[in-house]
Amino acid sequence: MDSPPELEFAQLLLGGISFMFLSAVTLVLFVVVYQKRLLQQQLLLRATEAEYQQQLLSAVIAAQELERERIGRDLHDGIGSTLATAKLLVGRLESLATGEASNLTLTVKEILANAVHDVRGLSHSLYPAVLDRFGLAEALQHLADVCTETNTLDVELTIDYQQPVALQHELALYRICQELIHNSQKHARGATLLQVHLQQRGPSLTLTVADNGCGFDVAAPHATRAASGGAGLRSIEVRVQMLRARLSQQSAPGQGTRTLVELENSVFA
Amino acid sequence: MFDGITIVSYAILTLAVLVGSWRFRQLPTNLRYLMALLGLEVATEILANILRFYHKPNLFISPVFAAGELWILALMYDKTLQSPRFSRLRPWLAGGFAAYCLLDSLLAPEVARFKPALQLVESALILSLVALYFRKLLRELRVTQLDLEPMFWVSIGLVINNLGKSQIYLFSNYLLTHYSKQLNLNIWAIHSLLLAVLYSCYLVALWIRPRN
Repeated sequence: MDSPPELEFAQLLLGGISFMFLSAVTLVLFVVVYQKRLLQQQLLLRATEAEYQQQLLSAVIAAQELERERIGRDLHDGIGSTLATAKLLVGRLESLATGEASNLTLTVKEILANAVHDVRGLSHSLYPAVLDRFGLAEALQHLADVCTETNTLDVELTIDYQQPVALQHELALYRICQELIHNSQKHARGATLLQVHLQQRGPSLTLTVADNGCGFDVAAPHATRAASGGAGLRSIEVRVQMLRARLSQQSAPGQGTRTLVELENSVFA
Repeated sequence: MFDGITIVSYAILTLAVLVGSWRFRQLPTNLRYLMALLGLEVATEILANILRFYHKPNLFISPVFAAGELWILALMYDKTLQSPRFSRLRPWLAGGFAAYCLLDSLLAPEVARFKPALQLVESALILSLVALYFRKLLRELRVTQLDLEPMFWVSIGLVINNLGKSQIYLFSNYLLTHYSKQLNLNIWAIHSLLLAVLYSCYLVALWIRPRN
C-alpha cells in the first residue's frame, strides 16, 4: 500500500466512504430535528385549538345562562305577577260569590295558586337568583330544601366552602349539582338518601353527589346508559370541561351512584 | 484489524439474535421479520465462512442473500408503513429484484468477482424503503420520541450501512484487480465496521420496548 497511486486511490475511496457516512448522519439528524420541530408546531396548534374550543364553550354556556336568566326573569316578573294578581282578585271575588259560584271560585283560586308556585319554581330553576345574591352555599341549601319538599328523597348537605370561586364557575357547579340531583330523583330507583358535599381543601374544591339507589354498571356501553340521562350527562361533561375540572363516577348495580367533580385552584376567583 | 472488527461485528450480531430470541413473544410483527433477517445473516455468515475455510468460492451466496434481505426488509417495512399502495407494490418490488438476482447469477455467474450493480440496486431499493419510512414519520407525527421507536433505529442502521457500503461495492472489483491485498483488507475492515454499526442498530431496536 506504499505506491503513490494506491495511496491516492485509498485516500479518495476513504474520502468517499467518509462523505457517505457523514451524509447518512446528516440525514438522520435532519429527520430528528425536523420531526421535533413539526411536533412542537403540532402541539402548539393543538393547544391553540383547545384554547379556542374552551373559549367557544364558555361563550356558549354564558349565552345560554344569559338567555335562561332573561326567560326566568320574564316568567317571574311577567306571567308570575299576572297570575299572582289574578289570584288576589279571585280571592276578593270569593267573598262576593255564593253557592255553586263560591265552590268554583275556590277551585280557580287553587289552580291559580298552583300556577304561581309552578312559575316560581320554573323561574328559579332557570335562573337561581339566590346564587347571584347569596352565593353557592345558600343556593345549594335552597336546592336541597326544594328537593326535600318535593320528593321522598332526604337530602344530606355538607358544605365546607370559605373561599368563593367566580360567579360563572359557581353557576356551572350549581348546574352540575342540579343535574345530578335531578338524575338521582329520576333514575336512582329505591334511593332514600341523597348526599351532597361541597368541600374546599387548600387549592382544590370538590363536589360530591351520592345516592343509595339501584346504581348501574359503569362498564356497560355508553349507548345503553344514554337513555337514562344522555343529555343531562352531556350537559354535566360540557360544564366540567369548561371548568377544566375532573369528573368521576362510581357505581355498581344495587350499590348506589357517587359522582365526584374536582376543581383545581386555576379557576378560583 | 480486519479480523478484529469482523469478530466484534459477529459478537454484536450474536447479541442481537440472543436479545431478539429472548423477547420474541413481545415483539411486534415487523420486528419478528427483523429476527428472520438476523437468522438469514447468521446462516449466510456461517455458510460463507465454511466455504472460505475449505477454500471454496463463496461469492455466489451474495445474490441469494441480497434477494432474501430485500424480501424480508420489504415485508418489515410493509408492516410498518401500513400503506395499501406499498402493499400492492411490495410483491412486485421484492419479486422483481429476486428475479433480477436469479437471472444475473444464471446469465453471468461469477466465482472470483463481485457484482457491484446488483449490490447498488439493492442499496438503492433499501434506501427507498427507508425514505418512505422517514416520509411517514414526518407526515403523520405519531411518534413523539424517536429514540424509543425500534424501526427508527433499524432505519438509521440501514442508511449508514447502505450509503457507506455502496462506495465500497462501486470500486470493489477495481480494488481487487488493481491494488494490494493490504488495501483490500483495510477497505473490507471498513465494511465490517459498517456492518457492526448496522447490527448495533438492530440490537437497540430489539432491546427497547416497542411503543404502542
